[in-house]
Amino acid sequence: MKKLFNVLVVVLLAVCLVACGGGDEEKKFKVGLICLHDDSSTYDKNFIDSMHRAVAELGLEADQLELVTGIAEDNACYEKAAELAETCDIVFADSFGHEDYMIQAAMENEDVWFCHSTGTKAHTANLDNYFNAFASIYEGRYLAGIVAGMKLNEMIQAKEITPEQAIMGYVGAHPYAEVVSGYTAFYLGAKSVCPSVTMKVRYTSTWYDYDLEKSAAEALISTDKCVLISQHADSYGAPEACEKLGVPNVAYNGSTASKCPETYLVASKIDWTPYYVEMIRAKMNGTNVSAKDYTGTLATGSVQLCELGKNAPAGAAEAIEAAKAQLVAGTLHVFDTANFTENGQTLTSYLADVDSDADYAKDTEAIANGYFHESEHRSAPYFDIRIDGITELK
Amino acid sequence: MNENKKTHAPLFSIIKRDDLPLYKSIIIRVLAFIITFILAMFICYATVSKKSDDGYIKMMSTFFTGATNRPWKLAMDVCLLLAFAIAIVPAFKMKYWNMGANGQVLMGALISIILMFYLNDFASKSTFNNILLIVLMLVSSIAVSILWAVIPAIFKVYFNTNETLFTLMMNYVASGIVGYVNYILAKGKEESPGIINLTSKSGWLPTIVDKYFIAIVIIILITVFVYFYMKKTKHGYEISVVGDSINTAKYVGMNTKKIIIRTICLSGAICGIIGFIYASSINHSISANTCGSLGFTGVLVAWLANFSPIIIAGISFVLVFLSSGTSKISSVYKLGNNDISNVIIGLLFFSILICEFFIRFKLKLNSQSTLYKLIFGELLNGKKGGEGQC
Repeated sequence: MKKLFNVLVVVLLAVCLVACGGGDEEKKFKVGLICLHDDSSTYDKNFIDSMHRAVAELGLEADQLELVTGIAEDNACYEKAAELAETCDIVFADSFGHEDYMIQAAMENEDVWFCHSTGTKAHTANLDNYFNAFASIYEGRYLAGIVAGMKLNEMIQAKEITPEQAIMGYVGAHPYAEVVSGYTAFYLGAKSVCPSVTMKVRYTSTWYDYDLEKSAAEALISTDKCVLISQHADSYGAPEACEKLGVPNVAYNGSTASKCPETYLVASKIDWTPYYVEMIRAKMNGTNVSAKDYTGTLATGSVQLCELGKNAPAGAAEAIEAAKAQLVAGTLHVFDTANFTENGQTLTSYLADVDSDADYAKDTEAIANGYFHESEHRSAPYFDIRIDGITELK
Repeated sequence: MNENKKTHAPLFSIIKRDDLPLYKSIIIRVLAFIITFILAMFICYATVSKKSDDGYIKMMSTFFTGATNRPWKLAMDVCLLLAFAIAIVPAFKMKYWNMGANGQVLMGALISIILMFYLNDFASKSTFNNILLIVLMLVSSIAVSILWAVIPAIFKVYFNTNETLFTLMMNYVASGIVGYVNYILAKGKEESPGIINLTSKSGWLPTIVDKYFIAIVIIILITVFVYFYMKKTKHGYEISVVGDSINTAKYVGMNTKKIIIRTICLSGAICGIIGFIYASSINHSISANTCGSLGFTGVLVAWLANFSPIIIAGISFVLVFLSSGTSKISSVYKLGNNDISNVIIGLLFFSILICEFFIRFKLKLNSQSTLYKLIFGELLNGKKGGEGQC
């Protein structure tokens, strides 16, 4: 029996040695991507799909990308980033809470670039190898809002609702600037074509919870009498609740047309491909990047609208194109102070919290030339004004 | 009457083993691991081969790279699981079902994080102040975790409440408190303030050899302490007596209330040290998910290892090793999620369960059962007494 045991140990060790012996390969340029969830989350799927497109566009081979999913916003992110830094030249992360851990890894691995999407600290962190990125997604929200407003007009004209009943519902994750900026832009887009519209917001206090998001959408429809729903949350909870109850839905992060064909109107999303391509190409070629804090726009192709749903209002495509052209040309501003009020007052000045500090102090004047300059002082949104016409429900 | 008894006799009898030599039990465990490992790798390869042209050897190379390329991280993960399991050993030996290790660790970590957050300026002034902060964090973590552990114990001792439900409930309360404190620290602007003192590193354990080195040494010392405490001390003996029969313990004059509360204080203190390690050496931040499910995995590991610290260490290593390797396979071959790792961990638990069963018990075929006669009757063709065992 002892002999058998010895033989087994030797065999196991031999297997280990054989398995460990395959590492003499030429080092290839490699890209790492750290995701909070896997592709069952609409949020993470958008990043994963964008990265695959970027890798294809740059002609990289499949094994030059290492994709890690399910990495929590804690030390696991630091460990994974540090581990990827051993084999990768550039490492991306996709969730806001990953930021500090990416900075920690960046401090310890100066030769590797660490690029964090949705973060806020690159412009103050003073690290050469740490970068942030976001997109002016509020412009995409605004365009999607136009489609929502046109749908409401259609419902008013068909006498399904009165102008006063044009109430939209919004499922928000958290009451942070990113969400406030998004829902305000969406509301202003709808209001630009349907002046009587109002909106109610319910928060789920989590970025990803199918049941909570579904329940919030159902409550907005049944309790709050909302006739159209949109959301800033990462699961299919809200769209599927709308499909079940036959209420039009404007999605985020990607089209839900296949899962919710009857109620899907349109979706806005960030396409991270242009950003990934620019950063990877710069690292490969040893060239500089355009900004440490990259803001993708409609012009760069980073802000996109998905295809219109089969029940989208007539003329929506033309209306989107017209508004998009104005936004790109700079003749239309989403947060034009002439189009909204706070407590009945038109704003002429607003200090926003742009630079990260422990006190979250408001430090930067954001209103100039008659509009709020969102995503210009840093890429991540900082519009956090609660405007008239929108009610946040407790 | 006798005939009737024979009719209802079971096919198998389960008999406790007392005579299995140590080397045999080790061989069974190693064999179980090897078989599981081979099966796990085939399952991995079946999945990987659909995504890549890489051969089996290349995949195995990826597995071992993932499992071993960051040895200190591997050691830290093993030690964390070991620490959770060790923390619940004294309580479980006493048949006090402490399911609240997660909550106790969280509360310990939370007080450390609060101290780090508010005493950063003080600690930044000198090395002595920083050492003072670290000591204060350690003492506070232990005190708070003991408090969190001892509340259900007091209710158990004086009101005979169900400690399983109580300690589970305390986990949820701890998670809620952590969420609320994070909200306060982040002034309601974000979910949490992130890493505390990232630049000043106040309250962080210093890096000696590796950033995890001190934490690993602390956990090894705790393991050795618990081993001797349980095996060689009067307290350890008292715990085993209370665990075997609380009435016997009372009969021989032991103060069972005192023993239970004292033991839970020890369990809580270990959880406090783990919480301190999370705050000062691992995360430097806190969330409701800081411990993951280690508190429950720890219970499983401790139970399967029959509360032996050495076997707990072995099982913890195997679990973390397999998990790290399969996670690497998931990411390199872009399997989309970590499900393959979870399947393999489940498989491993199943195999440990089976092998521990056969180490502790043996099955004996009962020749008197009806089923036995049905199956073997014709084969034996009238022979009597054909009893076997497996």
